[in-house]
Amino acid sequence: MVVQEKLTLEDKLNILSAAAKFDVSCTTSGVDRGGNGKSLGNTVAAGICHAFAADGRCVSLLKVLMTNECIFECKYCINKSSNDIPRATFTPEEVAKLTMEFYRRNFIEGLFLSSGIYPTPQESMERMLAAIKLLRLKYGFRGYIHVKTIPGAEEATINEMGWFADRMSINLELPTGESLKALAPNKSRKTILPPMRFIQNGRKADENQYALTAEPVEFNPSAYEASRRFDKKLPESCEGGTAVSLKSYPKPRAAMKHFVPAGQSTQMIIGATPENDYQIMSVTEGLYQKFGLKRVFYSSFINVNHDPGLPDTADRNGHLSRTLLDREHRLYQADWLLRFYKFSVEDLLTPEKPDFNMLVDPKCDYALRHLELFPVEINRASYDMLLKVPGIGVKSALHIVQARRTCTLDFNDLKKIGVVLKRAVYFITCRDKMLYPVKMTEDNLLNYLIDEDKKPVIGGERLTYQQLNFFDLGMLKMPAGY
Amino acid sequence: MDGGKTKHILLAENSLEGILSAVSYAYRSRYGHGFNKIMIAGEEGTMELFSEYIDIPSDPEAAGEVYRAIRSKLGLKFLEYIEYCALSGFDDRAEVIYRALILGFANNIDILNYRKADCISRLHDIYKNVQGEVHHWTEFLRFKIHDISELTGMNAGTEGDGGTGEGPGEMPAGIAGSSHAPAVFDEYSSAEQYRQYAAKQFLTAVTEPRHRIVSLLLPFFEDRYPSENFLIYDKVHDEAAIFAAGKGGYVAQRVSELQPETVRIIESDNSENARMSDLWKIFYDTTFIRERENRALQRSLLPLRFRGDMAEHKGKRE
Repeated sequence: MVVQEKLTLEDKLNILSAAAKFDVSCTTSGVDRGGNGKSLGNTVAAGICHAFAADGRCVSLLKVLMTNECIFECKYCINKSSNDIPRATFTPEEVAKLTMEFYRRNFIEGLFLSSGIYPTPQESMERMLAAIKLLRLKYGFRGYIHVKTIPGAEEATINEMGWFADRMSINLELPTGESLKALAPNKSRKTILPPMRFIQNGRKADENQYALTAEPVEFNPSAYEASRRFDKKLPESCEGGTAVSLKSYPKPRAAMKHFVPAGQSTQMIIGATPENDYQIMSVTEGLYQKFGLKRVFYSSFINVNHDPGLPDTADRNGHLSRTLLDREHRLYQADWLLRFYKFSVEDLLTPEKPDFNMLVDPKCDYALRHLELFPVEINRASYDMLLKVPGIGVKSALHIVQARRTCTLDFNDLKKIGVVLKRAVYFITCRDKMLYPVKMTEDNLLNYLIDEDKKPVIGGERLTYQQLNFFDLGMLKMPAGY
Repeated sequence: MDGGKTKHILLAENSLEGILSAVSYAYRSRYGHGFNKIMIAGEEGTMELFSEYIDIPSDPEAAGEVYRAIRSKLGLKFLEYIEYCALSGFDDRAEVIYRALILGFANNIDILNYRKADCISRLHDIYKNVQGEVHHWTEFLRFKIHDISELTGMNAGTEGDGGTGEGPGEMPAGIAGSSHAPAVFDEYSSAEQYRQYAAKQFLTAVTEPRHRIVSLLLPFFEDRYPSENFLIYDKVHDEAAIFAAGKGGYVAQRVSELQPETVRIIESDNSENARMSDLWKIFYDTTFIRERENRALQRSLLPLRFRGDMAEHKGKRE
């Protein structure tokens, strides 16, 4: 360990932002909190990006570690204890002041604070809490704050943090318990999942409390129903974790109005361990359904420590391999389908076909395997069915449903609404007619849907037909070994 | 010629009031909507043959009538679309408003969802475009922080290394006498001290938007910075949104002509801003993951035209 005295603020920022950069989450979405007319800051539900780094990722939060000193030895992490790198620690005052001054200049939307684990999980969490409380209470900062939950910190501290932060996250790191054990020997699912459950329960309790007290004057039947439904059953509905009530951990003085209002997120590293897409997506679905997560992030593995036991994902020029980035992209596409398009993992992948099709996106792939559902008549189909059509998104489906109340829609109108006709045209009819006569077979449509640049090149020309041979026709048996 | 009539081209003033006055004139004239066209005065482009150009002066009373009719008959959401459209920089904005209003007043339908009509789908496009521009500038607007004494000209050394201009006598203890480092990173023993420090400053930013959006940026930043005094100057349209903490904000026009002093202050800079920019650049540069470099994606998310005032892109060739 390199011990350096008297680091300047510039040095510290350099070290501690480099140490935090591999955390993917930089969203500022999920909570709409207007200003209070007195102190600095508000948040917008859609989120705001203030800069874009040269890797195309949005920079919207001051993403730093409190310290990069760490007692853990995770093989994928640049800050692991055995690495000989410069170490630094921010004081809470420095973090708060940097955030305030950046925020006033509109550089950032808020703060993302994480920390190495030093000297104990509890103490790292407490130091982060000190910085957050300073920011919220002394400087009256009302912008976005994302804090990492440190596995192994005490519940009382996590509870207090939840009342000052907007989003909290705890990284699952790897999709399966075995991989986690192999790569991060100091972490285990036993220390990761209970805090996640704890925050989920806290949020539920907070929502119920709100339902009871939000409209004290007017009788609100839906809020009443909600309160009846959740009030008594809360401990049971969160099976497998410690059930908490607000009574055991009181809301701290001068806290924000809600407990972790923007919800929780997590992150998984892909490409370091041999899990397939089906396993990853199943874990994701479980996290959304059972743990009420807002987002799951996927991070392509980069072998920063040059660990010989882990795969090298960068190519000769030091860029991440195209295949891994494509895979990450497919995972995000599928993630969106789970959250906004009412798909389930079983719709997209099966144990027999556990990986995504690299030629077309998961939604096209689904449509091609379910041609019995298509084509869909735009002027009659239900909203849910419209969502399943490739090229129609959440917004355009809504616009179609709204627009067809006043008029019958045609292909031209769909274009104006924002439907991506390039893909949708093979799966829809307007006034019971398709735009072109199309032969509805999987092979034929796949050929239309593959992007031009992805088609295989043979003899200088893009392949537009499939070479048939006797093996395909079943007339000959493939010799052994092929 | 259609029906042998001369086409009337109504030249409206460049404001919602002007456009609505022209709409009112078009209705009152009973000349027939098919023979009218509304354009913004000064943006006629190539003159058309066989048409009569008529200047329509703004008439608050007539415009007010149309405005109230839109509000009561077509709803507030439609009104918002019309307002955004009038602020946009598109040449056809007056004509789109005119055609959408004819359609709305004549038919008792949910007019905003009647996307089949060209004028309505164009109205949606324009609205989306203006909204996008507003969103981009809420993202990429950058503020510089000045000392309030710069406004009154008490401090001569605003440019260069002139510091932040605090008189040692008037600052609270802990801030004063900090010649070794900028005042901003000193310890404040209470929140009140920091508030006093911030109250002596004001924020300025420059935008170069395609549409006249400062009046739309004002409510956003008013909500975000209620405790700050700020000024957002639109270089292209020579407008500024000005906000004073605890007092409220307004939009000023013809700024460079009427308040040249303001423009001079906006262009000045001080060492504290430079230090914060440097810190920001350090952060920005280290956040970049070299293995994932993707300049094309960066360019599509952050077009070059926004980069002018962004510290992290200064002096870099993209």
